[in-house]
Amino acid sequence: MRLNLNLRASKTLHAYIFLTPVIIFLVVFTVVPLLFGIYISFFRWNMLVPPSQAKFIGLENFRYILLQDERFIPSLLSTFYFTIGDVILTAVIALLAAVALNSNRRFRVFLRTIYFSPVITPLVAVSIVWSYIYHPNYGLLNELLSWVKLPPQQWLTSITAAMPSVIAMSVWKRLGYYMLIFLAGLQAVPQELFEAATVDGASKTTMFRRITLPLIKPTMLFVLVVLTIEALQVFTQIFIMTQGGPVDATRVTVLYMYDTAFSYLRMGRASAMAFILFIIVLIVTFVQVRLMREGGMNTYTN
Amino acid sequence: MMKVKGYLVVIVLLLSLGLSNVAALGASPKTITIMAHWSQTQQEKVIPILQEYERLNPDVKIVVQGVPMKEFLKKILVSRLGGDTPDIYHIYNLWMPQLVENGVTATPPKNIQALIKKSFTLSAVQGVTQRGIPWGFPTEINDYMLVYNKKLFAEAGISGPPKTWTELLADAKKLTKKDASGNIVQAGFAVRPGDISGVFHPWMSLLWSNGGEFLSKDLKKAAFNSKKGLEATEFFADLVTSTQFSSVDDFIAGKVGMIIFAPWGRLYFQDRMGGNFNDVATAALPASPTGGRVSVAYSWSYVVDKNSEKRPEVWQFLEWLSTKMAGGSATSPMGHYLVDILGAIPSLEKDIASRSDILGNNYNKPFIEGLKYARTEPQLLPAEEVRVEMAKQLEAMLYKQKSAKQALADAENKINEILADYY
Amino acid sequence: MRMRSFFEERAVDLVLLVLGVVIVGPFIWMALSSLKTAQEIAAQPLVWLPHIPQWANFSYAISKLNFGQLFVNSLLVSTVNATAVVLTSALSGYALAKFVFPGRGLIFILALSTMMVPFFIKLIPVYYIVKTLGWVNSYLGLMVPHFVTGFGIFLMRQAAISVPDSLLDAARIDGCSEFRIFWQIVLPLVKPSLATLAVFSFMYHWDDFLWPMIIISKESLMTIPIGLNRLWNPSSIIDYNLMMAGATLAVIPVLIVFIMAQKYFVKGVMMSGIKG
Repeated sequence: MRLNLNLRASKTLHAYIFLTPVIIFLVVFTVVPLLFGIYISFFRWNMLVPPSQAKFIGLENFRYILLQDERFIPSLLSTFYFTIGDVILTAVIALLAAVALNSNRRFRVFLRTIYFSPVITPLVAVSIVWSYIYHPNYGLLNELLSWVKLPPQQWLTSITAAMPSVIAMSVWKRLGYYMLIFLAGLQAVPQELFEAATVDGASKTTMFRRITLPLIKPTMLFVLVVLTIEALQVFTQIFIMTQGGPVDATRVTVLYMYDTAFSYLRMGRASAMAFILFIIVLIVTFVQVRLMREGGMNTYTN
Repeated sequence: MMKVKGYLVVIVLLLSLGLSNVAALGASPKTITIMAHWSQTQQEKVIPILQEYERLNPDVKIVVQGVPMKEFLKKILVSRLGGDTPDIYHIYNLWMPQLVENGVTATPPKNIQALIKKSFTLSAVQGVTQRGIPWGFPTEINDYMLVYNKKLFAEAGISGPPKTWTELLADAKKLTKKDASGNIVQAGFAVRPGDISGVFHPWMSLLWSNGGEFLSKDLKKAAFNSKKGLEATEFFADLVTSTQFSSVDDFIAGKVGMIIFAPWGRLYFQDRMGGNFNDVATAALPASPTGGRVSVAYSWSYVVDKNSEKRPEVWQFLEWLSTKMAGGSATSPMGHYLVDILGAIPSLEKDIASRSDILGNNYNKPFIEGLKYARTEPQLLPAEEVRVEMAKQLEAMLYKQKSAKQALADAENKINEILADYY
Repeated sequence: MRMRSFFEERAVDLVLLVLGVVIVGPFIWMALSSLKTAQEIAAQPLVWLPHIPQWANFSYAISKLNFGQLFVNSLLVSTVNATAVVLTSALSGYALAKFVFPGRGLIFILALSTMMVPFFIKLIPVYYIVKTLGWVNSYLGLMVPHFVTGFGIFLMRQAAISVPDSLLDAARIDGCSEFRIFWQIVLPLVKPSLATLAVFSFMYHWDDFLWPMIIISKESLMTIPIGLNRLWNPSSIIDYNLMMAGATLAVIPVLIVFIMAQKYFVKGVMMSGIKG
């Protein structure tokens, strides 16, 4: 009994020893920053003075960005535009590519390598490459258009085309990653189901809709949630390719927040923006999980 | 276990490789770091000048930290926040109030202040002066003039540069060419959409030429949303028919007839256009209907970071770079760099006199004369924020998202809000 | 029927290959352009193959970017971060999975919920904290804030749960210390998850841009993305051939590593999907 007690005490002690560094880091670099970020969103603060000298202004930052600022709400809309385009295109193309690769033995490994290659390359580097591809005078894309006798386009410097151009590049970059995840999901689907369905004379589309889709629903949920969270935070490719322009066509929220904070040193206002986007991320994720649950995915996960 | 050890060795090796460079920089006690926005090629060409100083002063080492223009102010403020700062910044004087206010800039010693006041042209000294103190060594001074492509003018049957706004607009229309399907293939006049100064400065020249004001005298209110302001802005919108053309890229490609540009275009265009540069000419700004003609002037200078205030070698170096005529030359090292490498106009009186060979040539003549009727942009605490806001609204107008009226009204609101936060 | 499915398959093959071409296309274009002269870049109509490959573009890009230093910094930051994340996650994941102690639920929920906190909301406060610690413009500031991730803790807890208790108890009876149990029994058993986590963490930091851009202004501390951005100045003329040489330098090493160690990447990514 005593030994047992000692063992328990020792285990508890060790658990705390193992966890101490982690708890410190979580507190210092996540919990405190999160609370501090929310706190400072009620102040006017330029970071050049200690936070204790910041001026408390209540909800003014929130009032300003939500009711008065000409750019914040449009920046949210741009963020949604990017997110919807990016998530739908990436998920659909990745899923179709995964289904096709799954039944294709010939090129599977080769194509998997090809599709995945943009994923590991630095985003800054490939954003630069794509800016060059989109260049109205020297770009590859306008050259390809001229082959099919289409007039050259402005791409990144056109208000209407800039966001779709950035989305296309982002889909290209992350497609392979989500395709692999779908592929993993598909490989977990028992082949006997398809064989039985083939015997019953089911068509390929029917099998896809009736067997594949329901069974990879958990994977789908994972992909949608991760993709959405990632897309709502888009920054780097836009920072490199358009800097939010032309005019405000690609000024997404994180970029706007970054400029507000580090160009104009309006830390409080930028924190308020971050807070609102954070709430949106939480709501969107929650809704997605709920929707997929109601779609009846529990049957398979168990 | 062996594996873990090998792994640790790799990390230590990487760390030492990474740190060795950092240590090497810190090794010399008299390392002077300059933060500047010059392009890589320009930066390379400043090195021989700095090496000359290192040769004269073997205990000093000079390092240039290059920062892209788009992030420059951000970097200055942020590196201040971090407390790890370069010794010298080559800054856009527009930022001076903000830097002085936030304690970024060191106060120059009395003798240096006197030297600055007596050696540089008046407008340049004004550009670096805040609260009665000249905070830095002025470097380049720029104004905006009409730059045009003679070959395109000849093709369009235009004999000479426009002298009035009416001629300017008419010539711009004549120079604009469309292809069979209605796409513009050559623009009569272009700005640089997406670039703050590339939109803001040409507009400001028009505004001032027309007798409009940008801000009220006490800097508390926007003043551009006036009758004269609206006229100038609508004229600007008419002039810039397409945002698809850039005053840099497409002017170099020979697809733009006219631009309003700063002196540094001389070497910039020359380097990139080769023989076609012979087609480029400059002229005075066309006069507005009121007969006014005001160019925007902006200038740059070297300031010292507060943390390096007590380092005599930093001031000595700047004094040498900006004013000393080294090796029997009649031009200062910086003057040489400005005129021959950057293609800019220097502000040291002696440099202007000694380099009349270049500064007096046909290309530069309008710019030098223009300095007489140039006006410096207002220096404000939130200068960058105000400038960006104005440029963004104008850009929205050029992209046909807003009418001139709407753009001015929106800009006025926003700029008044920003000013209210500071003044 | 047979014919139809044969053609169907070929059609799918074709679509897949076209997609493959679209995906590698930019890389090929990048590599070709990196060897062109400035005139070839600006030429109309477009020049596909450089007349004489301009290898000098690369030596130029290497010296301008100070690429050696960038590469060492990127490698260092990514390696140290991946190592730290793997260690902290394995330790805490194991503790949370196999020990019963007061506060366990709370700590686990804390770790889980940090997964939901995106980096952008912490950006300003973490910058302020790092500045207060005096770590701006240092390797510490670049790395330390990323040493613990909620995702890592979650992943390693899931992995550690499957370690049989009997094995641990047997070791305890043999008098093994808790640290030895962790090091010699638990770690080898959760290796696949460790590898996944390491790969992810490495990839994340190799690619990270926003944080290093804010925290670093010294050239000697810049990572590859920051170094590339320094040369990227869209409001003036860009030497695309040199930029493409820089991009090629940034892309080729990771492509080679990926092709050689593909198995681990693929396994890692596939596992993350199933676990998640």
